[in-house]
Parts: sequence; C-alpha cells; structure tokens
Amino acid sequence: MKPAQHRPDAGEVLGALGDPTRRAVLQAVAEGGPLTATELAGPTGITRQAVSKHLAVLEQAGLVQVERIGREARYQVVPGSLDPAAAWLDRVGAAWDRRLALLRRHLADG
Amino acid sequence: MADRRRSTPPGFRPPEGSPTASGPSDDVTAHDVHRRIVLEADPTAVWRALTDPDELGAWWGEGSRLDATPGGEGRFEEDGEPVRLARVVEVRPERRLILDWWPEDPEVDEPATRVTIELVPCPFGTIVTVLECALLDLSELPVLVAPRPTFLAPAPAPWWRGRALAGV
Repeated sequence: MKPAQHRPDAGEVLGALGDPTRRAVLQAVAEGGPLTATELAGPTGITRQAVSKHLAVLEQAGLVQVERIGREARYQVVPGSLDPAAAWLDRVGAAWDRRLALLRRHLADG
Repeated sequence: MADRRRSTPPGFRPPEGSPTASGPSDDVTAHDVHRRIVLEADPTAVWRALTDPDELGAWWGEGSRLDATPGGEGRFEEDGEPVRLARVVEVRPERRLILDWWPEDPEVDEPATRVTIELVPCPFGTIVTVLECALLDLSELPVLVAPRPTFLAPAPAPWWRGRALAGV
C-alpha cells in the first residue's frame, strides 16, 4: 500500500497527536527512525499490534512513511510533515508575545 | 522512494526573541505554547484588565468581551487574528482563568484550543503564566457535547472532520 502523499495541515497533525501513546510512537520514530513496529514496541513498552495500529494512523495522516524490503516494513517521519503544526505553534506563541506586551503597556499607562 | 538516511525531523524552536518560551525543542509531538512574564501590577489590576469589558477592549482589541463566570461566553477581536469565540471553563478570580476558544469563522483552519491564564502575586507585581494547548481529545471540548440552549454562537470549526484519521 502506498502512503498518502499529501502535506498534512496543522489540524491534521494535531489530530493525529490526540493520543498519548501515538505521540510516544511518533516521538520514537522521529528520534530513531527508520524503525520497524517490532523495534518500536520495545522502547515504548507497547505491544507490536498496538504500535502497528498507531503507525497506520500516523501514515494515513501523512506523518510517517513506510519502506518495505521483503517482509520488513520500516517507518520514518515524512520530512516536513510536522512543519505546519510547528508553524501554528510559532504563530500562537507570537500572538501571546504581542498580547502580553500590550497588556504590560496598558497596565503601565493605567 | 523513501530515503534510507535517518530523518531529521523539524524541531519546534521557540520563536526568536521569546526568552520565556519553554519546552524541549526536539519534542515533535508538542501541541502547546507556554509564556511567563512578570507585570508590575497587582493581581487585582491584572484581573480587571483581563475581565473588565472597557479595559479588555482598550488593550486586546475594541469589541472584545468576556463573561468571566463558569460557562461564560467571550468574544475576542484583535489585529491580525481571526475573531475568536470563547467559553469559560474555570474561574478563580484574580488567580486563574481557563477558557476554550476557536475561530468564529468556520473557514479558518485553526484548531480549538484551551487557554489557561494564571496569576501569582510576587514582590514585584504579578507573575502571569499563559498556556495554550490544542484540544486533542473531543471529550475535552464540553461545548460540543453539552447542551447549549443559551449559547447562540456557532460551535467550534470541526477541524478534525474529514481528516484521514481513522481510529482517532
């Protein structure tokens, strides 16, 4: 099966992060990929079956891609797929920097 | 064709010039934003600036208002940002304010988020901490599942719908 070749937006990325176990799987793939589901099951302490399920969701969301060699399937993060969520976080942070600066000025004037 | 090299995922760097930004830069699953500043005003004054309609409008943006009671509604207007509607989740006057908010325009593709603002008195004034976190779990969004007889504003944009996220 070919992975979905689309650029997920911030909502998709954040939606895929909606499960703490899935977040752990994605983090492990990001740090150590390409990895197989079996290799991921060890350090994350999750069953191989559960890892596979989460990998399928992450793959469908366009965050990880799989490379199959023979019977082995290795997962890695799709380069750039997390950028929209990172950009969203940057925007949210910049908005608060601006608001808090305005609040500081307002209180100083008052 | 997949690349056999180890992928280097993009980091979540705090914005430049934001020394108060926190969180490990290599956490690819980050979904929250954290800020902390000290304001030279007591918590009473800071709270009034956040909740008094005249004061809120003066610095946040004209037309902004917030009913700072549990379940209270809010509307935030500001330059460069979509109009946001809000619902208050928790209130401890002069100490803590938690609200969920989302863009009024459902076409704006931004997730509903939860904003927690905490005020802690200190010798110099007030330590203000802001945490904005994407609402990842539908059950965290009471406005969607609870009856909303008096709530006339539209529900949050269903940003998670139509996504290829089977099993979410």
